[in-house]
Amino acid sequence: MKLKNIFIYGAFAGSMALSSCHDLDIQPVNILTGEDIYNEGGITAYMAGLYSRLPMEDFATTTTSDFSTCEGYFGWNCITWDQVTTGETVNHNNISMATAKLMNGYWACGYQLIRNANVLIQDLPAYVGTLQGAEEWIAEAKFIRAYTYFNMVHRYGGVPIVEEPQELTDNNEDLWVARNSHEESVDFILNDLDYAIQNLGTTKVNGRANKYVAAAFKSRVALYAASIARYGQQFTHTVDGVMVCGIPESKATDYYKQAYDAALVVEEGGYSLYRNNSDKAENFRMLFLDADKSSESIFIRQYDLNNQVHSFDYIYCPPRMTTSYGSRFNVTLDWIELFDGLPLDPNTGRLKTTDDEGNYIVYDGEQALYEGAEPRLLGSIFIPGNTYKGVVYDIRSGLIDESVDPSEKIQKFVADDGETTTAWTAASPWFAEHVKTTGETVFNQTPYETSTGVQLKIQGMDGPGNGGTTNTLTGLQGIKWLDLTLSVSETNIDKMVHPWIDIRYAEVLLNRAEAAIELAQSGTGSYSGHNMLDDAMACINDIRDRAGATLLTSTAELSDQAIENRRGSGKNSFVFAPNKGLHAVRVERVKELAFEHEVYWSYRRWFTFDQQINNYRRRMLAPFLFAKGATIGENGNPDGKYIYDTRVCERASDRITFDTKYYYDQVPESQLKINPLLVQNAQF
Amino acid sequence: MKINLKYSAICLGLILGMAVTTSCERDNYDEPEAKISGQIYDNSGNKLQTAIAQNSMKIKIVETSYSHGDESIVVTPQYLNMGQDGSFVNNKLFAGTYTVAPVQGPFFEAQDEDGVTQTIELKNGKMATLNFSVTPYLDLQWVKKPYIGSDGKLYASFVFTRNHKDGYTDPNLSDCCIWVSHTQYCGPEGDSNYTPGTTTITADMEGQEIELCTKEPIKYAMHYWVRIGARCNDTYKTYNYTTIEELDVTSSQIVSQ
Repeated sequence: MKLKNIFIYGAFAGSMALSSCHDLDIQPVNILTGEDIYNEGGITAYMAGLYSRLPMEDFATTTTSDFSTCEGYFGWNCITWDQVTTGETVNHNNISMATAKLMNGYWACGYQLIRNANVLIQDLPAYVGTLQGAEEWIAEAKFIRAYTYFNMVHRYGGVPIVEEPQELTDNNEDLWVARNSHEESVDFILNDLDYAIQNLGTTKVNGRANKYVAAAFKSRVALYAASIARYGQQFTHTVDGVMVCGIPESKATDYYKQAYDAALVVEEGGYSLYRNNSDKAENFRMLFLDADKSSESIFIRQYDLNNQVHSFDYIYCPPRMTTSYGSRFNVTLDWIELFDGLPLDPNTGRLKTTDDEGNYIVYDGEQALYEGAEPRLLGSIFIPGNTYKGVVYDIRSGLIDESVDPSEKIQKFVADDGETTTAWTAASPWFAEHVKTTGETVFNQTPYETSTGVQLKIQGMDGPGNGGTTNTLTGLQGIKWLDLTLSVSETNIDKMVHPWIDIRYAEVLLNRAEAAIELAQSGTGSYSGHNMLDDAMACINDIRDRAGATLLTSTAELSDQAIENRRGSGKNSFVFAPNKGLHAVRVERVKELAFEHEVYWSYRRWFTFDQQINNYRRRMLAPFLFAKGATIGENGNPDGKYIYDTRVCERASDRITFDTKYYYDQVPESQLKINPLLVQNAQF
Repeated sequence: MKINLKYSAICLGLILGMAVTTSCERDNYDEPEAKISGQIYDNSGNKLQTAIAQNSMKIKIVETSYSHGDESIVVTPQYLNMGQDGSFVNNKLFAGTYTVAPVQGPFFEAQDEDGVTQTIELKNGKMATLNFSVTPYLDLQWVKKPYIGSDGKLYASFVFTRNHKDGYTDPNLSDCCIWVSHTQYCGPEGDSNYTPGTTTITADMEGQEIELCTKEPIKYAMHYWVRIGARCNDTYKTYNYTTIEELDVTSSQIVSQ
């Protein structure tokens, strides 16, 4: 190589090397600085981001970790939910409860959100006076922090409390924080909420916290803590002197009082039960679809087609009413039986569709069974023969052939004791001889033709599921939350935007009633100027009146008289409680707040879960139509006489049991490995 | 400048070779070849009757030597499965020192000071044996071994006695149940068509004969395995069991329905 060339290349290389030789001091554009955030527009946008990440158990909550973007939250595919573990629903596609332990380990996402809130709580005091409403923003950040902490505390018990944003140093050990006790964790949350109640404004803005939202949430947290203290002593867990699971029993009364007080604060905010429609059934259904304008909505999450959507209807509608998926919303007969106005056997509390000799009662038409049922029930489930989304709902397990006259006495096919799983044909020779069932898909089924030429579909078009279809396995289908204004073709993935109600006034009333009964039964007959039992009765009756249920007539119905806790031992025996009064308020809660991710947490805090859901088999309602005399009705469904069999779900007969270890979730092992100070919960 | 192909090839070869061989150090940790087995006995020296896998109790085993006392290395416990007769075995453990304890079963929970947690060093290729003794809540004894009644159902009876341990409160009694299985694995995993609902047991039933029967008549003439369990209302709510009894059902005993 020539010397000249070496110079040329050398100069070129030198110029390349030196051209970037000035200091890199450009601000990265993807990091928000205080300047960006601490002005009116900035803080509003930033706070909206925090709200959108709140771990709210809404439509996008899933127990299937594969489909969530943040440890169980914000996934479209909510195919399994906690309600399958409580006896509220059956998922036709997943009849065991193995995948529904809610064990997605919400932790890292929570601490990220807490860090963001902590940064605001640390920085904002410096802006008081310069940034308008800085004090309120601090209070709002504390609400976000409390909300996030509570999500973890009701899963794990005590968690590490981090009050200030942690600084990254060379030493990882500086970031390790041990778990605080369960009690300290709860008190920390309550403290933040007290601050929020004091400092937040009273203006109601959808999706955002105000004074009353914080108070309503506080009633939830304090009631939770009180229940843990009163009922959770068998499951406490203490490591190195720190009670990470469980709260001392002596604290119960104080927490019940806090729950009660917080509920009274909400009342000042002018919230009331939704009563916009004089038809009580329709009113109850619409309550969940009119959330934006309802006087009952306290804290909601709104959705928007361009920003945040959900797929609830797509997954939970009956299959004929959605483009795909569908029918995970198979309500159990056990839950239906909690409602008033149905023919129940007083000795067992089970639906009685036979006379005293065990012969079926014949019902005239597909809706006769529901006549007189509590309107709240009618607003919670699909009723056969009604038209929804242009589809006539059609439920039938089979046909009784034409040789049988409806006046003939027919013995019950199979025992309804919550245990017997024998197939109909095996249990009843009469059934095998006279009842037609099919395993064909509903759309391609061969009809049964009567002597008069009427063609009857053997299987209802919406089930019960027969092996050929994915229809409901229980013969029942929930309607709560489903937006019937969406057409079938619009019922598609990521197309739902109707809001989720996270806290509604009915829950606050139930919190208040429960706290009041607990206080009354433990020696605090009156508190805050109210007689506890009178007040509890008024709260429950407010809800019952709106629901169209039977009202309580005296506080004697809220007494502490002990009751038997055994499924099948009387009306509402599906729900366990220590005594009559608590039973009344707990049953009310299970009826009113079902399918709202609420019952699961209540069973956990009452510590009745492992007894109630213990070798439990879910039951179904199976209608059979007499072919004799049947015609095609105006709505297109067969019209005729029906009998109803009640039994263990034919196709979901598994026993399910809630294991005591799930009273507290497993702390994620990945977290134990990066923070050696963390201790694991018992039984993991 | 002309690129010299030969040099390029050599350079590339060198770089690749370095990249490939730098990771060629042998994995220096031996494969898990250490083995442990053992037996749980009750307080009278009999084998504790357990459910398979972790359905009535488990063995908690924690490796303590790998971290050499470094707190930042977190060791999570492993849980070993049980056989039905209180035995356990695992032959795929890493060599090292372990603490081992029977936990979460129907017995008075082991406390370290009682010496129930044992420490053991496991070596590759060797089977170490470790036995434990616990005080079960209940002892169950057969009274009438399983037989087929005239109604075709399977009957059996048992008695239970409660154990006590100083310094512990007795848990409340809960219930008992009978299970029938088509295989040697017998317990709550038995044929659920035969399993009746649970029968509540109370303190005054201690020492008395309790008769149980299947929910349905036995359907097929074949060999069956039968077991009874009773449990207390403790934290774990798992069962104490009788031994497993076997019986052959003949076709003449089947009551047709």
